[in-house]
Amino acid sequence: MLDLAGKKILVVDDFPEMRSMMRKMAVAFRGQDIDDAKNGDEAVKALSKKKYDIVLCDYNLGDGKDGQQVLEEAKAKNHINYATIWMMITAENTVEMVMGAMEYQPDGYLTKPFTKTEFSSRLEKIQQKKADLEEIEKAISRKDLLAAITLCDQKLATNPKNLMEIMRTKADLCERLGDYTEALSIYEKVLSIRDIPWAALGVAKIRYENKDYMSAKELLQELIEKNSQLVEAYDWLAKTYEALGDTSEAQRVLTDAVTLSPKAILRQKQLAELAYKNKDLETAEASFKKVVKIGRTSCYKEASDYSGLAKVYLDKGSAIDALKVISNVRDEFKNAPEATLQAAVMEGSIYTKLGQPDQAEKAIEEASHIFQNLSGNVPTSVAMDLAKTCFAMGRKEQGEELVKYVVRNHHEDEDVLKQAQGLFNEMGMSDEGSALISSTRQEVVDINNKGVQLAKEGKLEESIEFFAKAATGMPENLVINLNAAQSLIMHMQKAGKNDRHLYQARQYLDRVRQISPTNEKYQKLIGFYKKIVAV
Amino acid sequence: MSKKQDKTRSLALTSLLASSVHDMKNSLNMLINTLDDVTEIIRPKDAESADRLTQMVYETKRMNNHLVQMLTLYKIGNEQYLLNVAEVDVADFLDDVVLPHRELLAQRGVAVDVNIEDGLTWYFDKNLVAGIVHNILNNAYKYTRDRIEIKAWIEDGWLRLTIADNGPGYPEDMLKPDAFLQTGISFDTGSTGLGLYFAHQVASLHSHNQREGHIRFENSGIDGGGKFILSLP
Repeated sequence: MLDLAGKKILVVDDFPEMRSMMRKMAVAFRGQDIDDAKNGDEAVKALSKKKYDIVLCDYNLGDGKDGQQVLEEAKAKNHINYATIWMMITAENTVEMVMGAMEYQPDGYLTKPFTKTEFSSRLEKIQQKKADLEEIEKAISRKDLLAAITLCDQKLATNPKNLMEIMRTKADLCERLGDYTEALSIYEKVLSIRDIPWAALGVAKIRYENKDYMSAKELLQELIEKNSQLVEAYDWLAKTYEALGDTSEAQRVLTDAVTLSPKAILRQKQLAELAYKNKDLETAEASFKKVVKIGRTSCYKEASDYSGLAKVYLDKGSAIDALKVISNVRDEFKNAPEATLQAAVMEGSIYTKLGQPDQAEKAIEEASHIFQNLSGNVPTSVAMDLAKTCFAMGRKEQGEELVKYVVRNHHEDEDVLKQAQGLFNEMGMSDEGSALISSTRQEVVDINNKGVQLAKEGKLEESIEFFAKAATGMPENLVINLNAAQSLIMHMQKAGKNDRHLYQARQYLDRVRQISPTNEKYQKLIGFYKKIVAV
Repeated sequence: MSKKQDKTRSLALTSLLASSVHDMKNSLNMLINTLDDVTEIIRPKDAESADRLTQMVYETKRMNNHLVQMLTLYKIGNEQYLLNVAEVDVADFLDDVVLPHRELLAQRGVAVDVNIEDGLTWYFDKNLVAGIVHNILNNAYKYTRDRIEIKAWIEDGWLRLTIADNGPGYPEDMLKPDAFLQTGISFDTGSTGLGLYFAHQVASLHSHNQREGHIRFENSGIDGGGKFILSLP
């Protein structure tokens, strides 16, 4: 029988009667430590203060956040972990949630109305399932994806009850690691049994990742034809159109998706950014406004929502409105240097437009100063905006330095390189810019090759030193950090470990984890690193 | 009106209906649980009243099922329902669905047997098929003498799910293959045929390899009682 003694329980519902009813049910099964929350914000607050074992959360919470948003925020902020049981209480079948991202799914659903007996039966089943998958979840939560895959394989070999779910988990993990061949074979195996939407979507995603855009498009269109409510398929179709260069079709698809899920802020944000790219300022303005509005109660609120809206206003010629929006950033993101940086960058271009060079200078000085202090922790888009403002203000040299910095740190990232070229084109410096980009790239490639060569020749100590220097200059560069860690690990594998090398390797690995936690080479290096530590 | 406006309007109406249903369900939830509590208190002193209260719980649950089915049918009709076909452990699934009926049936002296091979899995939308089984059980509650038997097995690529009773059997009208097209037929006590229509719609939404799910009624249950057969590809 269900026993809730000693469990920390949180009840979330906007109806006081429902809260007290659920509390009574928990008490009936010896629950004592029970808190409640009447809306999403209260729930997040409670979750941030105490580690709960069980969360009983109504999906529908009135005007603010819904249950799914609370769950996402709690996961994103690490308020809950693999051990927390999250039971979503729903009034009706809510498939949107079942279809959403795997990592943000509740452990189970309970449909209203329910009696005490149904409540306990469901919760018991969830507890069992959770215990069954605990090891896999644990590995995923410590980002040890390779270990998680091994655990999935072990489970699959026993022909378990929840075969499909474990296959889905494994496919998702393979995808995150970039092992598309394995992921595809799982999706195809599922599809050979049954035409299941998530598996078909999986195949489409892999086609996209393999840059096979035309066939991805066909499959996604077919999928939407059959399942007009499958919002995720719209997201991927929009991405596919964008990759094919048809940004207006991409915008149309995203508009449909947003109609289906008006509360989803990330999708709304994508639409806003895409419309801005398409120079559809009306849509961009409306969408950014919605993003800002939804963002007020969301964990996905970002300064870039405001600067996006400000850019739209600026392009529409209403610099005053832009300035107003930006002043909100300074209010709403206090003690967040990155947000202040964005505000200062925007102010630089706004004051330039307004013909107030003194104010613009002041803003850009502030921005440069913060940029220096934040070195290595500035999003690419912000660095690019800063560069753009510099060019617009005639600070050509500073602008070039900034673009070089971005290219150096992302020399293999096609999107970033495209953005850099786009910026130069906009400034009428196409040829000059493209030369600058390719020479900077080559610089990084040469440096990396030299370091790798040293390691190959067995000159590991030299290689370590060489990469250490390179990594100081480009702290965000994935390849450089990976190879820096690799040289250290190779050295320790040969000559034994020492504290200094362990510490250095850990630092590079940590940087990589921040850039791309699911990188396959990173996962392997972490494995070696652990072995060395354990010796 | 443009097609897009149509769509937006229909989505707005769906969300209005959904939130109204949600609201009503909160009330029903309160009602059911209060009745449950009161029944527990009354039973030792007054078994007869307790039984009548249990009857009320049953009616409340019926109302709930109808609400959900109406909303679901509306969504299906407007292509706003996303069919969630997934692998389902059939025994587990039926455990969950039968559980809320057990107490009521036990009070009426009806024994429910569920005979399903352990580990049997099939592919369907759990929520929708649960709606069908609830309907049939609600119905069987009224008409069976003292037994209900649920079976499920796989046969030539179909899942067969049967619910048999030892009541007087289904009326002649319902034994026809197109019974679901008629309305107002003999579910007695003012039934509208909603449940039947729902069951038919849900079954046929499930398709695989060019085969469509279907339902059938027979009077080949226990001692010539009613038997409902759901077949899902």
